[in-house]
Amino acid sequence: MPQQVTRLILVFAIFIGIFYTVRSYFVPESWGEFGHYRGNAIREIAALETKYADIKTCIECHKENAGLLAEGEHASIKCQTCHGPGYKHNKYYELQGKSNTPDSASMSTEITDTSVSTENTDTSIQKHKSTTPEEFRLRTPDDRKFCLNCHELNSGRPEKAIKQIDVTDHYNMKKKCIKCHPPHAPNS
Amino acid sequence: MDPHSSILYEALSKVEGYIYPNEVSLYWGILIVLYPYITGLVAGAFILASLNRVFKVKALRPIYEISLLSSFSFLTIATMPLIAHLGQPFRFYEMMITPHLSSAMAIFAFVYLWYLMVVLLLEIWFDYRKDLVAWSNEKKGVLRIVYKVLTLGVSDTSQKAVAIDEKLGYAITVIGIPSAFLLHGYVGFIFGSLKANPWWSSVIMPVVFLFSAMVSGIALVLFLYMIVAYLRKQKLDMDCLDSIGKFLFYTLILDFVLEMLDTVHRVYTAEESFDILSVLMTKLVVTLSIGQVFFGTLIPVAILGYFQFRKPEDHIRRAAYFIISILVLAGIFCMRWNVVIGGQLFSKGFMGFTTYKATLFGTEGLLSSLIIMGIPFVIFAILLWLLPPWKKQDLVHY
Repeated sequence: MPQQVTRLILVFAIFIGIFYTVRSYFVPESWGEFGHYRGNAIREIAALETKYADIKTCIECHKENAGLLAEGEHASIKCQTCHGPGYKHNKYYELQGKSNTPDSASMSTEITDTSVSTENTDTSIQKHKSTTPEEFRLRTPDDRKFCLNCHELNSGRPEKAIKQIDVTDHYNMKKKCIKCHPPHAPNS
Repeated sequence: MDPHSSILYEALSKVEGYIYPNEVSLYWGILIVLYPYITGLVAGAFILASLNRVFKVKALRPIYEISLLSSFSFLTIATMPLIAHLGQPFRFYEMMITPHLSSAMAIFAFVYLWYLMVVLLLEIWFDYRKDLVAWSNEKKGVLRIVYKVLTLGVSDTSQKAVAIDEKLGYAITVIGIPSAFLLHGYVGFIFGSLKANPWWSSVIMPVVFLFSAMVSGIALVLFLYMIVAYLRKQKLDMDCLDSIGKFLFYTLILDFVLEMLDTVHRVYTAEESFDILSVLMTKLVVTLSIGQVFFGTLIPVAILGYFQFRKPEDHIRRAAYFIISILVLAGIFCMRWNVVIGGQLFSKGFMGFTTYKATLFGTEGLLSSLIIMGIPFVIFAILLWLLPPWKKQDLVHY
């Protein structure tokens, strides 16, 4: 074999050798354990602090509002959309026991029972809120701006799916939407 | 106005009609315009070199080395716009060390390495080996060491060894032609295979990219040949210039015909995207109708076509070739712009448009693009200094 060819083969072999050495150094240890990614990435993600509570855990204590929500026009909206991720809140009451939950007085109420009035629910929620330390409180937005995130008239928004209002002519600008449209049962 | 609303209103001022929120700002900016432009120059310049080596077009001998070295200069920075575009540029090597065979984009690392290591480097090495040995004996100091390293320790310059160099170089050029087609056809494939985008999705895209690559590569070599000759105060070989002009003329016509075929096909089939694409073309009037078609194609074709029948004085032809090379290079840049930017300006709902304005600073800005485009010219100058074609032993030209 000509000398230039053998020398080139040697150079290429050295290059490939360096490549594989560098590769073995840089490729993470858990690479390819489950697929084309680091296996440890899954473990690292699993070890992250949980922030989002499962909706079933909300229903455990908030049966009344969950019942209203299930029947109403906001049925497709999850609790977390308005009240925040909720894991801390849920964990707090898991440790505290469920004696101070808004439904504790009527734990036997079925989810489908919508006979409980909004007013009663609001009172129990207020009580519940006042006895919950601030760090573990859920968000309870009640201003017009929050509602208008979805309900302000927008030509790019499907009218059939989301009711929309023109803020310039819809009722009193100063009055809160939830005074007339209870968020858990807006069509009640 | 609260900050969120001001961002929303600023974004809305850039759009027309109905557009999805994730289409307002473009994902691929000017850097991704440079990527097909640079790989096109690489492939085109190499194909021009192969015309001399494989197809024995003797008139192109003076630009053989310039073609190879310019192709190599641009190939060394071909990945730069892609790396600069990455969200995590310092993790680019991960693509190389953990290649994914089912991703068309990840395949670029293989195509690139094949072209760089197996085709261009080897061809240049075999072409220069005899001269490297000679220079390593003549020169002194650091240069001597550099040339010694470049010879890879092979000092045999016997007739037999040089004949082997010649044969192997020829074989690599033969392999190099389909490889050049693969390199740029691949870039066209990346766009052509995106079926969600009607401006890109076309089976003819790789072929259009290939011919436009040849056009731009030939124009680049024409430009560089004239500049190098001017700087070295050497007379230009008019036979060579006329031959380059002739090949540029043919490839320009083929490229234009292919693009027209694509356009006619779109007009005739008039699929649901036809209306939005018709409006898009009016928005790209500067880069498409004026830049790409009029200045980048029609004027060069008209002048080169005239030269095929009448040959004006040498100095007129020289000036015309120089201007044509710049026009064609700019025209092909406009073509890349129209493909990459144009394809992202319209909504995939076919109901609206967004706008694109390149920023001056930042990694994705105009300035960094200009720097990236400037680097290959510096590399080319260094290569010409290190491997001067006019000092080769077997060359009678220059």
